[in-house]
Parts: sequence; C-alpha cells; structure tokens
Amino acid sequence: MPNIELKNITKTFTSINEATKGEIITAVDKVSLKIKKHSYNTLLGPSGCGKTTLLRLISGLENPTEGQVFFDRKDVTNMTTQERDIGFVFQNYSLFPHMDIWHNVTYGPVVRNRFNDETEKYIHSILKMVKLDERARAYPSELSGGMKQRVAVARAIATKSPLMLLDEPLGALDVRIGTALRYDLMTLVKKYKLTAIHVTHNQEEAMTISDNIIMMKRGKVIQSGSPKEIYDNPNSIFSAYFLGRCNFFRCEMIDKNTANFQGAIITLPKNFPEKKVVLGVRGEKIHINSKPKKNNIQGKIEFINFLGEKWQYIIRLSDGTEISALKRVPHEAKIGQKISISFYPDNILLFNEPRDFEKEKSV
Amino acid sequence: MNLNSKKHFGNLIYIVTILFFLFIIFFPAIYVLTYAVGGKIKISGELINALSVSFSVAFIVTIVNLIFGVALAWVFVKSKSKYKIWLDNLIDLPLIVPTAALGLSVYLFWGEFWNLEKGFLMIILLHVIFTLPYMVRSVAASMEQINDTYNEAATTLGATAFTLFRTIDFPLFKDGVITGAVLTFTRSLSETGATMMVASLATITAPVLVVNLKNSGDVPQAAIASIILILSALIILFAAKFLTRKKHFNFNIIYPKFEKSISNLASARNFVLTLFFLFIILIPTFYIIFYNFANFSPVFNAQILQSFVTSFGIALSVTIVGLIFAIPMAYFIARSKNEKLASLFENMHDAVLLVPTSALGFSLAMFWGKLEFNELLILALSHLSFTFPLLVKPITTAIRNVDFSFEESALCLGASKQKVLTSILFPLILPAIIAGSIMAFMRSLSETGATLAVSHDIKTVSVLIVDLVKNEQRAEAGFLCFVLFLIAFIFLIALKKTKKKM
Repeated sequence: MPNIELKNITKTFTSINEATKGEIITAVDKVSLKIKKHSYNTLLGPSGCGKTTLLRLISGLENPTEGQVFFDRKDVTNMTTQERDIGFVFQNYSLFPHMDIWHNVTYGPVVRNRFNDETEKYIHSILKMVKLDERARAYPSELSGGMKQRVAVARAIATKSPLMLLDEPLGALDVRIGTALRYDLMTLVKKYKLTAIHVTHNQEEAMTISDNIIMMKRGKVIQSGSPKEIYDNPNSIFSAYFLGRCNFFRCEMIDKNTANFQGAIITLPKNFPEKKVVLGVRGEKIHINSKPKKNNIQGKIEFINFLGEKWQYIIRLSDGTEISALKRVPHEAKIGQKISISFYPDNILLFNEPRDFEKEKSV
Repeated sequence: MNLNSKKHFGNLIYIVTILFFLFIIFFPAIYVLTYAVGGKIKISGELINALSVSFSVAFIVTIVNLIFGVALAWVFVKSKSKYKIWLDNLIDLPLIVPTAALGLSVYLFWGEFWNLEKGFLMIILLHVIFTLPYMVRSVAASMEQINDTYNEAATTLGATAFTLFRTIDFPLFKDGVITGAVLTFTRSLSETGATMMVASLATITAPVLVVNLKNSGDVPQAAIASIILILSALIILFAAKFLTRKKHFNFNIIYPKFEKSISNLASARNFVLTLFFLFIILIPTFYIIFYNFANFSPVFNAQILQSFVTSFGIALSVTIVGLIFAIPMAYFIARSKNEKLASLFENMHDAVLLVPTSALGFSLAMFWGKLEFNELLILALSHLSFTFPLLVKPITTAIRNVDFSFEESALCLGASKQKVLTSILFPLILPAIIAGSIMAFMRSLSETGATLAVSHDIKTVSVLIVDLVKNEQRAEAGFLCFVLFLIAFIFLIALKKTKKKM
C-alpha cells in the first residue's frame, strides 16, 4: 500500500482550555507531503507543533478540516480508521490491562476475523523477534516499560498492516533503554518491510533512526530530507537550530561577500544579495583563540562543561550573544579568560535576517 | 499541651468516632438480627408473597436498568453533543426528588392519565425511575476513568464500535456496572414511601409490609421480614465484592458480521434511549408539576407547617451531628495505615447504606425503644443512621484524592498538625463536605420507610404526603409534593455548583 500522500491538510480545533476557550487553534496548517514506500520517516518538532495531530490524521483517528489523505493514490480521507488498515503504536503503549500479552497481540487479527493457524505461527515469530515469547501469558502490569513498548510494537506488526505509525514510542522510557530500542525498531521495520512514520521531539533519536526527517513547527512542515541533508543544508534558522544546534551571528553586509559582525569582518562562502545576513555556525566548527585577534569576534569564556566525549565552551560575546563551541580535546582557555573566535567560510550557513529573530529560533 | 498529649487527643477523637459509629449507627441498624437468636421463626404466607414481589421487582428493575442504564451511560460519556449538559442535569433529579413526591407523580401519570391499575407493573415503572440514576452514575463514573487511548488502540487494530464495547470497555467498567446493579437492586428492595402509593392491596412489597405489620403490632413477623431484608442486602454486598475481584478477560472469539451490524444501529439506539428517558423517566417524574397547575390549592394548615418544621429540624440536626463524626471517620478510613481495618469500616458503611430503610427503621425502633427514648429522638437517631454513610463516602473519596504530600509539605514548612487540617486539607475537601451534606439533608427530608417504621405521632413531610394520599386528599398532597420538588431543584443546582469545584 503505502506511498502516502497528504494534500493541503488542515486541522483546526476549538480550544477547550479555560484561558483561551472558544478560540480556533490551527494544529496542522496546509500540509502537503509524500512518503515513500519502505522508508523510515520521523515527524520531528517541538511539542505543540502539530506532529501528533498529523499522525492521527493519517491514521483516521482525527478527520481533517480541509485537505485529503491518499494511500497509494487512493483517497482514504473519508475512510474510518478500521478500514485504513494501519498499525499504530501509542505513546503510553495503551496495552489493554485486562488481557494478557498473547491476547493483546492477537487482538488485531481476531477482531478482523483473520486469526488462523498461520497467523498464530506468525505472531509466535513476532513475539520471538521481540524476545517476549516466554512472557505471552503475563499481563501488562507485570512488564517493565521496555517490554511493554515491545509488546505495543508487536501488536501493531501483528495486524500485517504495511504502514506503522508510532507516536513518541520511546518517549516514556529512560534514556538508556530508549536508545537501545531505537535499533530494535529500525530492524523490525526493515525486516517486515514496513513504512514507518515516527513522531518524536528528540532530534538525536530522529537523526539516528530515520531515512527521512520531516521537520515541523507551528503546524507547518519546515523542511524534509535525510538527516544529513537537513544537517548540512538547513533551509531555515529553525531547522539549523533544532536539528543539531547552531550558533547565530546577525551581521550587516559590507559588500557582496563580506559581512560585519561588531567590527569583525567576515568573508562569506558566496555572494549574498541582502543588506543583512544571519550566519549559522555549528559548535564544532568554531575556533577559539586564547590570544584575542583584533579582527576576530571578541568574547569571554563563561562556562566550561565536560560532556564525556567532548568539551563545551560557553562564550559570551560583548553584545550578550551566547556561543557554544565544542572541542574533542580540552582547550587551554580558562573560565573568565578573554578570547576571540573565528570559523572558515566553508562552515558558514547563510540565512536571511527574519522579521523576528527570537521567534524564528524559538521552539 | 505538649506533643504527647496532643497525640493522645488525636487518638481520643478516633476512639470516640469509632464508638459513635459502632453504637449509634451500626449496631442499632442490625440489632434486629439478634431477634433471630433463640426466637421461633415462622414465616407467614403474606410475608412470602411480599418477599417474592419485592425480589421479582428488584430483579426485573435491575435487568431493565442494566440495558438502558449502561446504554445511557455509554452515550452520555461518549457524546460530544451540546445537549449532554441537559442530560447531566436531569439524570440526578429522581435521586434527589423525595420519593413520596415521586410516587404520587408516577401514580398520577400512569394511574390517572393512562388508567393503569396499581400493582406489579406500576411498582416496576416507579422503581426504574429512582434506581436509574444510580446505575447511570456508577457506570459513567467508571467509564470516565478508562483511558481514551484504549479505545483508539482497539480502533487502529480494527475493532468496530460494538466489538470495542464488548472486549475493551465492558471488562474495564464492569465494576461500575456491578456497583450500579447492587445499588439498583437494594434500592428497589428497600423503597417504601413511593411504593406505598402504587402498590395494590394484593401486590405489596416486603418493606411496605414491614411498616404495615409494625403498625398492626405484629412485631415477630415484622422482625423476620426485616431480618430477611437486611441479610439479603448484606449477601448482595458480599457477592458484589467477590464479583469485582475478577480483573482478567481474554477474548479469542469475535463475531465480526454480527457485531458490525450492531455497531451500525447507533441511531436507532439513540432514538430508543431518548424515548425511554422521556416517557419512562422524565415525564412521570415531572407530571405532578403539571397536575398542580391544573389543580392548584396552596394550603398551609398547622399540621403541614408542623411537618415542615419537624422534617427540616431533623434533617438539619442529623446533617450537623453527622458531619462532626463523619469527617474524622472519613479521615480514619482514607489515611489509616491499617488497610484491612479501614476497608472493614468502609464495608460496614456500605452495609448500612444498602440495608432497606424500613427494616433499618424497625431495627432502630427495637433498639432505642428498649431504652425508652423520646420518639423524636429515636426518629432523629434513625435518620442519623441512614444519612451517616452518605456523608462519610464522598468525604473519604475526597480525602483519598488529596495527595498526602500536600500535608507533608505543610508539616515541613512548620505548620502544626491542626493547622495542616484546617488550612490545607479542609479547604480541599470542602466541596465534598458540602455535596455530602446536601445528599444527607435531602435523604433525611425525603425518607419515608424508616420514618414510618419508627414514628407513631410525629409526622414528617414525606409521611404526611403518604397519609394525605391514603385519605384521598390528593390536592393537598400534590401541593406538598410541589413544594418538595422546588426544594429539591434548589438543592440540585447547589449540588451541581459544588461538584464543579470538586
């Protein structure tokens, strides 16, 4: 089935929150996108960006206010969730508390009247795959968080649906278990040749797990592409900041390819046509000079954080901007020391100065 | 006071509360059981007849309510309609309308308007009305606790509406259904005042018989009837506790075609439910108001005035006295570290709540009569007995819902134990205290069975209504019911307001 296509999908809600009661809230705003068969996709964005709503619109748990949903060019907009034939993994797993693991996992085939000897074997093989075959008679309350998560995934796979929707499936787990389960998820999706759409707010999770990342903010898709494409070529300040963090320098253009940042002259990688420019530089591309150079950007080391595999230097510039530089080996600069920073033109990302810089950057 | 004596003071409050409960509320309520010890038990044909009517009515009413009550609760919880708020307001009405007024209203509607004869069918029609709210409320309360995502998960797995209801929702809200069924059955078994108005000479229920026997002085038969009623209520309570233990249900079989076709009947279902609610519940309940507009005769004679003073006086004093003991009792049950003891006391409260009131009244009359108390005092004590659990229950739930860490953080901030109670706990449970008080007050105001079993000369409003109807003074009775209705309305609105804050 799934080449999934969304055409101009909009979803509005009427607020039931006491403070904003009656106001119309646009959770998803004219979203169009295509999802390729057998790919692992993540909907990535800060909380409240509409990514879960978008997933629920694909599943049919919500109906769009406007727009259409297509599965393999077939319009499914008016089809019920049951008719769409999907697998869905919920954030809190939603395992039925009154059924044991076996009956939770067989529930899909049973209610669709597809349960037979063959499916029984198939479900045993899935349970083996997620290492829970021996716990089939246990009840959800007897399982750990990681086990519950695996049951939830097994239950979705057992429907034999080629499309798997996952709503923050690793969000409720502690970091170590969640990280380990990422690879299990990826393996399962590839083994059963599924198309996966995975909602997360965790950029690291999205980068490790995805073939394709769809970045969302305030109900709109900002950018989509492979993790490397987005990391190397973010199309916006938000993309650069949310996927992998980034430092920004707001400059005036001097001529076509040089800019001025607080007196420091910076050569750009290419010509830029506007009067103002925002430069984006990743933390690992920033050089610290412990003997400040006159033409460079001036600052002071405020904090030094040891992050295990690397060191993070928090630098306060004279205008108050905070810069984070990452080093694999400790730098000689000390806390409180005046330094200057620099970077190569090739490592600079160029953005237009937005109307409201903080809002653009904010999550 | 030093710390040690403060602790003793706290324990003293508990001890006094427990003694109060045991000797004022609990033992008098089941005192009649001692009559069976050593007494000769002989059951008359009349009693067997009445018991069989009572049990068959209770059984049929429970079945009817299982069907319509569960369906109504389901529609109620799932509905996103704007009319829901109306249903929400109307559904509790039969709960709070004094049963004597309800009985008259139902009689006037079915008896006079539709020319139905008094007797079995009319008893059932009456009992369905005042038991339905118990069923809908208990089921809706446990439905609301089911996490929405269970339904969504089942939907994504392919379950249709009815399959989902049968395999997911029903097993999860089963306990609410059992509670609702128990309340329906025992309420039906126990109701006296309203039933008197719709029962015929040939078809009489056991609690009505208890009152009749007591009035005619046949104490042994009244005692045996009471014992049977009390024991059956207790058996039902324990059976329910046992049934609610099963928590696990696995489903292997589904009937996709059949269940899908049932799932498609939603609009027919809503139509039938609307008809049922309008014509079986709502209009018969309200009919008395229309009747009054047609035959309006506001009379306020000395007798009526006196009955109002008596009723309000008793209702107010039992609510206040009850509250004094109910709050420490609720705290004891909710916060006790000894869970077994707490649950024992909780079950004892449930037992008092479920015991048919005329049997309870008879038992109390026997107990306090031995001490030759004043009639008014005995009446007040009996009202205290059946209203006390109504106070304890909501307050216990409210205290349980208050996170203990609030009290702990107040203690850490330096508040004294007393200050913690008055400044933290009390304000948080105040809505429950008010709600419980309203329920207790209204119950006392409207109760008939126990009052009839206890009193000789003193008449409360509800008893007066029963008397007036017996004497064919329907217009006066109608007017009194109308007044009670208005009071019930005012309290219902007050109750809704406090519930919103809970």
